[in-house]
Amino acid sequence: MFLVLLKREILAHLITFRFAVTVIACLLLVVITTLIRIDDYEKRLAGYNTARNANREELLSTRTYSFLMPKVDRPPNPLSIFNAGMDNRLGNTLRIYYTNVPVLWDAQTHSSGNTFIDHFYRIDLIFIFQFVLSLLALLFAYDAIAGERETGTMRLTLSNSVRRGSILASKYLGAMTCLILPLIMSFIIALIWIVSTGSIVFSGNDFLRIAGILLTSIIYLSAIYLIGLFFSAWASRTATALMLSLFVWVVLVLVYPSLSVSLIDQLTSPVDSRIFSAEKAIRQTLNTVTKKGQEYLKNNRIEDESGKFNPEENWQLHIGIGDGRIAMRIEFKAYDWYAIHPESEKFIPHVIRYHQFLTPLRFQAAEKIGLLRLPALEQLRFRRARIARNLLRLSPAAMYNLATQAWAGTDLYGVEDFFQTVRQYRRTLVNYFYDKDAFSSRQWFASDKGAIDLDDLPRFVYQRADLWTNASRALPDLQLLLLLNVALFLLTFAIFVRQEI
Amino acid sequence: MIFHIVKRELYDHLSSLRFALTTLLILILMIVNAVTYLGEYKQRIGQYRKRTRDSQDRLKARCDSLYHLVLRGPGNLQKKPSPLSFCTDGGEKLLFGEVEGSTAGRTRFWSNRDASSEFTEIWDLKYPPNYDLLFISETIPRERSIMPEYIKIDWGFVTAVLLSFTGILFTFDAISGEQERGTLRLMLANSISRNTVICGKFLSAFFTIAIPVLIGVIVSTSIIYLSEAVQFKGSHWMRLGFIVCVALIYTSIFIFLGLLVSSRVKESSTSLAILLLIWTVWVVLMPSALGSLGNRLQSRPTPKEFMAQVQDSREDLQTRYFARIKEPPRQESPATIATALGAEYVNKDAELRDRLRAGYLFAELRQIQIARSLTRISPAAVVQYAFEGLAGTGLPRHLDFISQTRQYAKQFRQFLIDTDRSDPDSPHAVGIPEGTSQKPVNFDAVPKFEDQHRFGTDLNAAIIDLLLLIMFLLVLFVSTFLSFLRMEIG
Repeated sequence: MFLVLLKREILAHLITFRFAVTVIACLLLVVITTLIRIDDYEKRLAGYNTARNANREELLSTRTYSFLMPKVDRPPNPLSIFNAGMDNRLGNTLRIYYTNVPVLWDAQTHSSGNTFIDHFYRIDLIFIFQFVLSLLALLFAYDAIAGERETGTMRLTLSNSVRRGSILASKYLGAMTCLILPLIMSFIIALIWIVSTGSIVFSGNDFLRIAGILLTSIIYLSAIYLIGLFFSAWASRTATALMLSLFVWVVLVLVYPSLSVSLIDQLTSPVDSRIFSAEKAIRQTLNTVTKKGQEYLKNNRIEDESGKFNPEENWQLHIGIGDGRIAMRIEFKAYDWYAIHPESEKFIPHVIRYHQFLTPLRFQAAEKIGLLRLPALEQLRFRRARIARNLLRLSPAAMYNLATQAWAGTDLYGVEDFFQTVRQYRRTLVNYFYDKDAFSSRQWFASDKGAIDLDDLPRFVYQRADLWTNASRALPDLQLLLLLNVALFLLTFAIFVRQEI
Repeated sequence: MIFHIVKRELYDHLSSLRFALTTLLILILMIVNAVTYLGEYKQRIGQYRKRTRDSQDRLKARCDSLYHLVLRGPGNLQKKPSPLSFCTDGGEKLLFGEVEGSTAGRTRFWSNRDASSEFTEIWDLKYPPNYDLLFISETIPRERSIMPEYIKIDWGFVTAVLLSFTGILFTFDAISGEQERGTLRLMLANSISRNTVICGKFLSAFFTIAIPVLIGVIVSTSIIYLSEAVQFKGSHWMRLGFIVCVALIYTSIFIFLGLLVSSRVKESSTSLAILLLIWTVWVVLMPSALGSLGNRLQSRPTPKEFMAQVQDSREDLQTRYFARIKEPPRQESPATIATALGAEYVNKDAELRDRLRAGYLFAELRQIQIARSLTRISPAAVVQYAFEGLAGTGLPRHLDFISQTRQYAKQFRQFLIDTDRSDPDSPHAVGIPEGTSQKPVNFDAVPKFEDQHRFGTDLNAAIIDLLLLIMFLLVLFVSTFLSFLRMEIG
């Protein structure tokens, strides 16, 4: 009996006008969006490759150890075609100094695109499913029960020995089959398009990630469909069911996500007292190091004919870039004395001793500041982002967006992985300095005897987080969506079973 | 007769669930918008005042000598926030609130066999601020927020997305529903013309939506007005009036669209499916999707090419002038040939930088303008742009601000030359220390920049969008009428 019902439902949906609309709309939009996103990805990839080559060239032309400040770039994520997330919004190029533990806000963007292009909201494949397909899912649902009640066929069906549970289950499964069909077709078309361009190469794990995105999409659509089914069972008239479900859709999908985040953004302050104490501690560390350097110079004064010889003179490079308040860091100094006058040669041992004394101190202070700065910035920014994310979890559309971002690795944590890798790389770089005894070598500041040898310099390699990390990040939202599904189904069932037809 | 029809329909609508839900939603959004706007505007205007004050203080400090002013320029010029930003934000966060008129102070060395000298760059206008020509490819100064992306809920959003949706909700079954029930046939059996029926349907839907809109507008403006945080002038009320009119015209477009589709199909559910599809594509997708195509249609020099161009032209200018300078500039009056040439070089260089920068900026903006023109296929984008124009926010306002700063820069330069001319001891070669008056300048006489919100300019930017909206309306109006007149009622 159940199979008969299910077959009837599926056939009834398949011949409807709305099914045709759903399929055509989905495929058309998916094709256009894929086209735009692939183009965008290829542009970003080209920008990344140019930047990487320029950086390598610059690195190879480094002549002294103190000038060794490699620049690293974050490659664009190919899965950003599905959900762009933060992949393009956050910094993608970063210089590594031994005097600074890098964080997300030190990064910059290589400006391949138009400065004003952010004015147009970016759309991706998930956007299509989140908005368009969910709206169409409601159209499948609103008259499922109320409509049959109005036309009287429900009574007819129930006069047979059919359990109400199987009617509901057949309705749900029938409609979901008809919704999943265009969804899977969209995924296949998008994938064919992407793979056929040749510029985007997916690994085996990427296909599993895409499968995860597909699974999440199905669960999301099912949740939205169940919202419609719930109203259809609850409301006495089809028109009421339609209005209520459309209204709930507008609130949950369109209004609430924007409203909650903008409220958090405007009502909470990014600054609090803990920031100030961190700032104070950082300033203290900075002062100590500067003072130590000055003291050393005072105690080990070298007199020459022209006055005082200062190892800090010439070839200073002051670099201070940062984001707002926690921008304080150890001043980065690089030296390249490419020609040393024979008369000055006698000072060189003093200069070596100076750097030997000061550079490790500055390096240690940088580590210390990093330990203060990282949690302070986390406090400053991540906390608010987390609050916003938690609030967003009241909307299934936002949950869906967050979960697919996590699968694609374009969420905040996915981008943060890159900076984690950069921090690790900086550590290996510092170890490299120690191995080479760079701080106490002449080549730290002078290249008159030839440039440094960079053959064994460790290379920066960045790999996206593995599949299980992505999955575990997507899991909380996925579970919540599943829970919502179960709750809605049980609720609808309870209402439907007790109803008088 | 039409009055009766409107009355009947209006009663129907006003007692319906959809009316209650719409009113509730619009009202809540408008109030939330007003409240958050108050906090934000206070912060923005405070920041504007503080920055203007700081900038003036720094300008005052530079008045100790005319050469200082010549070298370092007027400082940062601030964009005044619009008090009507609650109507539409226009992506203000993505635009830069100031233009920097200052110098990086780089020097160029000139030397020949027995003498050498250096020429320091004088100020030019930098937009975006801190956007150094030498590092243009490295950085984009941009606030990097890790908050989830969101669309700002303002009048623009409520109009473009919600009112269009409501327009469809109230009309999708207006004709097909009556036809299904058979009441349409009944009605037309009386001596009512079809024109009257369609007019009645339109007017009733229009009034039903206009009521919550007007309530929302009145409530949210009174919240803002009564808080006394914002002073509205007469022109602001006029702008608000225009904005409400635009919103209602836009809503009418979708009412007609709903009636059109409803009169073409037999079943209400089909009508709704078609309308929702049109709505998602036309309102939600098109404004964003088409914008991304702007980059493809118009090319612009890459930052790298641009930097190379800047470097080449500046080198070229330097070589030409430095070849003609035979001795270092001297501080004597009247100016020697070398002094005059040096000053001319420094000024020409500033002019060149300014021209190149402006060229690059306008190439970028042209791409955006093309993207915006493309998105005008969607009335949702058109209404957004009309709002921006009328509220004095967004890109048109930003362009006006930039052109005002450019005008001011001219005025400022003229002031420097005039002041130098009035000093009898100066060699009158403004641009280098040897040729410029070193006397202090009266701060009060220095022209100050104040960003003006000009209604005429703003309206000009909005007029094309207003006309487009009216065109959309007329096309849909005519097609709805024709469709209904030719409809067969079974």
